[in-house]
This record gives sequence, structure tokens and C-alpha cells, in this order.
Amino acid sequence: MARKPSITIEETQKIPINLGPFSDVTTSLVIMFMLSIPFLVESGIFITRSLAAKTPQMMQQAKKSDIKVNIYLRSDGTVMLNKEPVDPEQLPDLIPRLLARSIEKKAILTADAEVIYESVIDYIDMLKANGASDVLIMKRKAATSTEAPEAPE
Amino acid sequence: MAKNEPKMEPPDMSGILFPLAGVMIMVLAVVIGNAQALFTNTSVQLEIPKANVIEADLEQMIPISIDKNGAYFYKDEKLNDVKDLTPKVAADQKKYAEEAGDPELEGFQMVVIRGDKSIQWGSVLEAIDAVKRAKCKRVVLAVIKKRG
Repeated sequence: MARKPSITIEETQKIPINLGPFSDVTTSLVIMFMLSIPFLVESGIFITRSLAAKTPQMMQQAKKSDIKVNIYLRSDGTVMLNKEPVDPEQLPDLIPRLLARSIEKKAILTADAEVIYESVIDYIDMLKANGASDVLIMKRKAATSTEAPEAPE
Repeated sequence: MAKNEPKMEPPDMSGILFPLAGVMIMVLAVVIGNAQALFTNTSVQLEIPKANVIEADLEQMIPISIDKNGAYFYKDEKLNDVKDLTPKVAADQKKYAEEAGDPELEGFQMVVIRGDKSIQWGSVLEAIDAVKRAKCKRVVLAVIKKRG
């Protein structure tokens, strides 16, 4: 005797499919996507030009400027603030005090070519977060790495 | 009389909605997966450094990428030398000014330098120099907003 199937094909086709979970999952994905957009999408930090071509006039202007913060990141990990070695953890306290004495609130950042890019970004970010209006990216000559950085433009 | 009227049943839409919901989820998953490439105008995948301070939304920009091996990319094109950047960027800036109908806008299209966080700073400086030689006035280092 043939066994009678519990649900026929016709009956299966009439069973309504519950779309509630689907819409829940889709809605959750949309919300998660919208919330994560700021952390997915790239943004940017403006930089002022490095000195590929400096002129004596620019050097003179720099000497007369009121730049009070001059950070130099050395390849050995030493951080120099205004030509003095400094503990990086003290910088968030020192930078706002130095910038307060400046009108333009510009800061110079120099780094050896061997320094990891991420750490340079961290310092640019720290300077901007502590009130620097503009961070001037300086270029050092490899042979004169112990000398003062080139002047800003 | 009303008893003789045929009983109206709502049409069974589940046969259409079921695949539609599946397709919707697939499309959403693809969009989420490719969100970064959609917004950066380039498909070069990098680990971009994170920062708290965000100054520029990157729209209508010229992307320059530096991967973890130090290779330079102009949009999706791999370059043999960083010096090749200058003429390409200059040509794009000229095109941008021509399209805007204002020659004074030459150099004002934003150039974004996307560097992998593990590269050396010297590679980024070379790219900045090459871009500046093309007389670009708006240069941005790409970062992703830090969480928290």
C-alpha cells in the first residue's frame, strides 16, 4: 500500500513564505552599512607642500615667522621638539601651550625618510587635534639629517 | 446575491518576493564589500592609516596610491617611476580646468595620496614632490577615521 504524502505539491505552493526574517536581515545590514560608512570611507588631511624647491626669500620669511612648534622624527625613534629631545607622551600637553604663543598656529613636521608613514600620520593628527591650523611638511636632506630642517615656504 | 459572488483572495506574491529579497541581500552585500573602491576611484587595496582629525571629504579627486612594496599607482595604473606622476597629474589638472571652463582652476583639483601605513615616509615625500611639481595646490593624505 502506497504511503500517502503528508503534504502535496499543491499544498506546498499555497504555504505563505514568511518574509519577516528576510526584511529584518536586510534592514539590519542597511543600518550596519550606514553606521560603518565613516569608518570605511577614506577621508583626508590637508598638508602644506614639502620644499622641493625653496628660495632664499622663503628662508628669510621662515625666520621671521612665528612658528613655535617644530617637530622632528628621527629614524631611531627619537622625537625632537624645537631641536630638543622630548618624550612623545608629553607632546599633547606641550603643543597647545606653544601654539598659544603663535598667531598663525602653524607647526613644522620633519621626519627622516626611514620613519614609518603611520607614525608620521599620528603626529600630523596629534598636531591638528591640539590646535595647529596648518602642518608644514618639511623635507630633510639625507646627508644633513642632524641639522635643522629646511625652512617653510 | 452576495453569496454567489466569487471569493476574492489576495494574490500570492511570495513566489516573486522570495527571490527578490535574496537578490536585495546579495546586492547589499556586494555594495558593502566594494564600498571603499566605489568611494576612492581606484581599486588598489591598501591599509590606510587612521586619524582622529578629518579635514577633507574625497570627491572628484585624483588618487595616487603607494602599496606596501613602495610601488606607485596613478589611479589603477602601476608606474615604473615616481617621476611619471608629474606629467599625468599635470594633464589631469589641465583637463579639469578646461572642463570647468576656467583656466585659473588649473591645479585646484584635489590630489589624494593613499599610502599603505607600513611604507616609509620617504616614499610619500617623493610622491608629494612629484605632485607639487605638477603645480597642484590641494594635496591630501588619505586617512580613515579612528573609531571611538
